[in-house]
Amino acid sequence: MIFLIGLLAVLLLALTTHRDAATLTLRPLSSQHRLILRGIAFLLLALQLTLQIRNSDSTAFALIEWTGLFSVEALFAAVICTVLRRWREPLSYKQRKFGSLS
Amino acid sequence: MKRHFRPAMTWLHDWSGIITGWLLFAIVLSGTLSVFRPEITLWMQPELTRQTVDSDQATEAAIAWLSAHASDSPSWYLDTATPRAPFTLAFWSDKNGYTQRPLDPVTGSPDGLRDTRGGEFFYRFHFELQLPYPWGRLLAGIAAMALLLTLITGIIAHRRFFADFFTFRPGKGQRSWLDAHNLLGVIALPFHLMIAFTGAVTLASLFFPWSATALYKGDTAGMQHDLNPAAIERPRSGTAAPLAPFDAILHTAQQHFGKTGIAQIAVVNPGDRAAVITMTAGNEDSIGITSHTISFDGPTGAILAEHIERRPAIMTYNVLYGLHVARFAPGVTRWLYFVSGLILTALIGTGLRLWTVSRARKVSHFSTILVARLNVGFIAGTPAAFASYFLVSRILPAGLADRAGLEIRCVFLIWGALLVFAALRPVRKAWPEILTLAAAACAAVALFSAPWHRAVDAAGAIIAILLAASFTFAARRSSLKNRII
Repeated sequence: MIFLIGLLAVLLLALTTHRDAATLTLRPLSSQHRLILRGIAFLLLALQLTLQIRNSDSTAFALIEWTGLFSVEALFAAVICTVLRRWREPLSYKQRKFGSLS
Repeated sequence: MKRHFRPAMTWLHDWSGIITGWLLFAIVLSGTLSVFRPEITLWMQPELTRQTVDSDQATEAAIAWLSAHASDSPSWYLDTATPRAPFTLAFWSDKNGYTQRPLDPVTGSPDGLRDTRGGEFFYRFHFELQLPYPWGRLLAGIAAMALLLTLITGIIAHRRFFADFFTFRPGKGQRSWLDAHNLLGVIALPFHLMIAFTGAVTLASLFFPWSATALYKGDTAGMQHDLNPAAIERPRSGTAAPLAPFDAILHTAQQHFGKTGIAQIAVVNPGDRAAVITMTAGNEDSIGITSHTISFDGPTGAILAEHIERRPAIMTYNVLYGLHVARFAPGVTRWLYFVSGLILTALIGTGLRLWTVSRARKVSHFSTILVARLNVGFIAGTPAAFASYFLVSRILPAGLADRAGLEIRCVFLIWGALLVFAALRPVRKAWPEILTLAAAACAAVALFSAPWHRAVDAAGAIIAILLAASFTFAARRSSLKNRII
């Protein structure tokens, strides 16, 4: 559960970058939307840390674990973005060849 | 000035990375493996089938065996049994010099257990590089400082730090290697910086010995006593005296240490009237190491000295050292250290590969060819050689003389052979071949873990299979690329 909260936060952070926003959403996000998403992502990361501190015997241990989990979550997010980008590449090729589906 | 700063940092990043990269690759990979040091030792001791042991009983059995068989040794050092390592690890001296063996938790004897360094090999190699003191430590210290420098210059050189945070574009040659290098560097950057800094601090006294020299003027015993006031040193009296009943001493120490328990025991001058038993508490409740020590008089069992570390400077050092060795780490944190260590290893590997890929289109100089060949030998050869250590440990007969030394010699022979092979073979052929060998070695480690009854065998097999799959994928990719070219 704690890991999923962090993963969601990291995916939201990925959404706020120009390149990955184009990968994860079909429409470009406005700067205001990106700002809101970034805020939610940081709140979720704070929630994750709070939950870890509550579950751990020591705040220092929880902080170390949270930092380590962030790395793994970021790796997962990067893999998800890469797979989605690869998955969408043939679609964009089709779109280029046959025009928009709409 | 500003215009030249980033290119200068990029240049420094490239060259400090390439000069120390191969050494760092081996150091970081062995350090990553030594996160599971006791588990590796247990994996290499298939005879140890007990899941749980009573630490005090195991210690008493070990002391009884050492009293009977190693009474001539000037000292004994014991790492007590824990749930992670259900055996006592003992270090003593015999006619062949110092020896280190796991002792059976019931009999206290090393008989029936195979002679192996286990995880201690990776731990020692990580900072001693199998070289005599102080050369290995000096090299490891230089490598740690170079890693810190390379990380800092890398942060400055990386132009689009946040924009490319999650970016990896596969199948695009140099761009993909750069993406992978940036991604691996950025996602675990706090860990990379922490491990490089704490690693350099751990070995700092070798590089800056002058404060100790100025203060103590060569009196190392005085310095050791100030660092750990509870560690009593006294010369051998020459009068024989047996050790006091050990159960009572253990009971007293347990009462003083509380839930952290006893982690290490040193018995100096055993069997002599001047015997001293020094016990160090575990550090499962704090990041810092060695915070509580008690010394007992050997023949009487009376407390000679007790010290709880509260001095800020030493506590700071202990916390930094503790962060590096992660003895405090609960299960999840230990796995996160392991994964982050693998990420750092891959970061160094992709950096080394990027150096040659970025120069591949230009005229091939001798330096590029040399780096390309060394890259194959180290990046693909080191994991293969380390995997062979596990295999050799299971293949060599259990009763072989100097078995532990032979295991280690085999690792270096295999590593050397792979480096020679990579130097002689064309690079595009050597990559898939040595990567396939690494995959086969990891798959064999998974098979040798059979019958997977112990948790450590099952976990070892799963990790080995995952690594074998990764190496197979890498070998396939490099061989496909060759076919396309």
